[in-house]
Amino acid sequence: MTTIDEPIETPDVETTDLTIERVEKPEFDLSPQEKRFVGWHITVAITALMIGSMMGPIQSFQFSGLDLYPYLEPVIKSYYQGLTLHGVLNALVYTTFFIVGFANLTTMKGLGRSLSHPVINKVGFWTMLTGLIMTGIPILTNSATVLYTFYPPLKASWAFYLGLTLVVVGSWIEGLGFYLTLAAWRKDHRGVRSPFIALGGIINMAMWQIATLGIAVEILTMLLPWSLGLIDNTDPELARTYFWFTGHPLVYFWLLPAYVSWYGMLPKQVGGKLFSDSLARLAFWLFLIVSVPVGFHHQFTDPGVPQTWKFIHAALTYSVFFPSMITLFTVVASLEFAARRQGGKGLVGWIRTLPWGDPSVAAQLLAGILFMFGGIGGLTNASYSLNLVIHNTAWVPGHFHLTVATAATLSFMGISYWMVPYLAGKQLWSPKMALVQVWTWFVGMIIFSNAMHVLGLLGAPRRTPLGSAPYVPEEWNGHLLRVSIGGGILLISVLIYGWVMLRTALGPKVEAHLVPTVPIAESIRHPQLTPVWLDRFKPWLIAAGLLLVVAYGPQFIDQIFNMNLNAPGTDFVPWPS
Amino acid sequence: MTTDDVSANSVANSERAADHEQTDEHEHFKPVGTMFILAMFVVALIMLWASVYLILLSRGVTT
Amino acid sequence: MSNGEDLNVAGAGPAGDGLDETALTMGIDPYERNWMRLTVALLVMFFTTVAIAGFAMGIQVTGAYQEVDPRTVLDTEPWATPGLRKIGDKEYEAYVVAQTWSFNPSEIEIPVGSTVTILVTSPDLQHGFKITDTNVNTMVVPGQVSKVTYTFDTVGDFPYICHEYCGTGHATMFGVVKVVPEGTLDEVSGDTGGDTDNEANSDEDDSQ
Ligand code: HEM
Ligand SMILES: [Cu+2]
Ligand SMILES: [Cu+2]
Repeated sequence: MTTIDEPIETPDVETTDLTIERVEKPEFDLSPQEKRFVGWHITVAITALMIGSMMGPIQSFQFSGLDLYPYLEPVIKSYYQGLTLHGVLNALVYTTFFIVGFANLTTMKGLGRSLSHPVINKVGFWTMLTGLIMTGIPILTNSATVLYTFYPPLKASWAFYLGLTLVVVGSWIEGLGFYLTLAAWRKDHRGVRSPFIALGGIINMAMWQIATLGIAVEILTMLLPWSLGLIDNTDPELARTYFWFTGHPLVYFWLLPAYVSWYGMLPKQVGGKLFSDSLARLAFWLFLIVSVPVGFHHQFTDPGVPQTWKFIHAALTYSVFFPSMITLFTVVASLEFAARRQGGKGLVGWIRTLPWGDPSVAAQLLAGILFMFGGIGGLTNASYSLNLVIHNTAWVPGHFHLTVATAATLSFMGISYWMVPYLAGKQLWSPKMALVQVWTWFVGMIIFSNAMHVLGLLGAPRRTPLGSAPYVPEEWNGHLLRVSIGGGILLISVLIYGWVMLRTALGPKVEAHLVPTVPIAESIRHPQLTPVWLDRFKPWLIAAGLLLVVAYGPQFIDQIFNMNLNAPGTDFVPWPS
Repeated sequence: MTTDDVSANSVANSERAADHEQTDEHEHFKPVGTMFILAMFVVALIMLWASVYLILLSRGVTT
Repeated sequence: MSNGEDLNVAGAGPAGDGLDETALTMGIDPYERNWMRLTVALLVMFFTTVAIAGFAMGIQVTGAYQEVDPRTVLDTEPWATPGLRKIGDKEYEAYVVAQTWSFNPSEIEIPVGSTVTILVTSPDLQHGFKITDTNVNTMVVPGQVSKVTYTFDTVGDFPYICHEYCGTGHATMFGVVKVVPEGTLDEVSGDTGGDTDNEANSDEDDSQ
């Protein structure tokens, strides 16, 4: 009786009952303790972002010869140590804590009930935090300068690997808490469609649990024993295959919470409705299925993986583009619906009718605009031999600063503009400054990202302090300077963001009616009209499993059965001390 | 966007006899602006993608 | 519990149109349905174009070629003496070792129009190998040999750059392919590695 996929006896009768409330228990609100619990996730996340993001502009300044690393000397010994901090804190820590915190909120608020087993989520959170500390210490002491991909045989301290494992395991535990809560809700609501914002967040957690099996196996069977001295060598190619099993779905783990907000919250924020409940759900299920079996598109240039599998994964990666294109239509149409309802006119003139003065809305709209270009770059990267033009060049960071560092991060910033005041019982400090933050991010990122893309096409490698590389030709200089200018504008944006968040959190408590509420969008069509199969985990999980076996099974079997643990790495510490 | 607003909406929902209101609302709305934006997107997609494709072709054959 | 009736409706068939409450269709807007069709068409078009470049024109990515033991690879031929070997008229093999933090050889000189099969491996950490302005771009992974063949049709210097983080000297790790006009290169200097051509060739044959 507790499984999520409790069969529904007579779906046709029950599901067309349109008197079912569209917003589950609107009177339900998180208790102060629950708000504090979510708040802790967000606090850790934003702190990580503030520290991690500081390194970004410093890296970008290095590109045009402004070397600030001597001033960081007491802690940060090199560009690479800073880059490790930047990648781990931003892409792994900030995202994971924010996403899990946000999923706590959308689960509770969406379902209109508290977590069924809050203690599970507490254990999960503390596990994640313990892991973060364990990972942070070796990074800061320069004993894990291996970047956030930690490719062996670069060898980090064992604490780094164990810490990362704990962060992942903690997020699994919190995910379990969400499933149990959803199952409890479903037991009380036979025949009722799961509220979208809760379902979306939980599908994302399910996808993440499947996806992270890759690095879990990589760390537990290879890297951790190796760093502890139990085994002497690694199999670097197998490690790469494990890593990218997790590495690509990781990007969808970052993105889907932004999609939850774009589909399930933003329409409400702009005074409209979700254009299509069915397609919103379909998109999430498709992401669950196709996000994972595509990892070889990160290994197009790897020796040791046959071209056939690379080509198959290229095709599968193309299929991930499909739900994103659905998202593009549905979200833009929801916005247009809202604008027209409020008198918006013209083919594009309606865009001006949207509430651009609301920093939360502006952030998400601008994030969406830049994500279109992120999508174009992504399709290019995935296009098999086209990858030869850009693989491991500056194009790649140029690309993912539009996706994770803008589509996800700028959307999360937008979300935080209502969520942090909501959790703290405050008002947003200076919406004007928040707007400046949002627009500076947008402008800075356009300059930064465009320059990085161009540098990549010219052949500039990534993960490289280009300001001191001997092979840099004259013609790159203008673009390197643009990277620094973009980075400078982004630095201003980050600082404003931190300041607005701090002032908001420390601001005075205000009366309840001045505190923002959680925006939950209705769909134009009643969700009870959405087919039942768009509300079931089982068929989609089975499909995901089958596709994984087909798309990854043979190559994994080949690499695991022919495993060669023969790469010891260097007998000295290979990074600068 | 206050709590009152949310509960007002759901009261309206439960009072509604059938689904006609939203059906009408939906049928009167043609997302032409959306189609236009997406058309621009497709143009950008094809042009930018093709530009990298042409770079690829200009850089010789690797086997 | 899968429901055949529902799945029927899920297809993009005409049953999906409209808002019939009891049939539980997805209720997809006709415009959006067309958008989804266009998306599929676009993806098929792009993918066909990709397949043409990859398979008809032969612009290929690295594949699985050969495994070696990184601990001993440099003790045995051909990797004990990396460098360029001439294997035919304007045909060469270049054995390149990528190691912390240089390429050996760091210079490859060939006459314009030469076809070079480049084989790269690493005895220590992961590295990258990308020749600027060409489609030669591969990872270098300890335990694996990356193989790529390319014809250099333009005179000039083409730097090859390590594009995977490999520690302290990563940013200074590069080499140059010098493509020189025909006749400027005397045959002897075109061959920088290996004891004799024959020996290198026979090693190559064994490894296949
Ligand atoms: C404050 C604005 C930011 C600036 C100016 C910035 C700049 C940079 C630069 C210059 C690089 C190094 C490129 C290289 O050497 O390959 C980089 C790498 C990276 N950035 Fe950012 N960044 C910013 C924010 C972010 C955010 C918000 C995220 C994610 C949430 C992020 C994620 C990453 C990742 C994952 C890498 C790759 C690290 C690696 O290659 O190991 N960045 N960034
Ligand atoms: Cu990917
Ligand atoms: Cu390197």
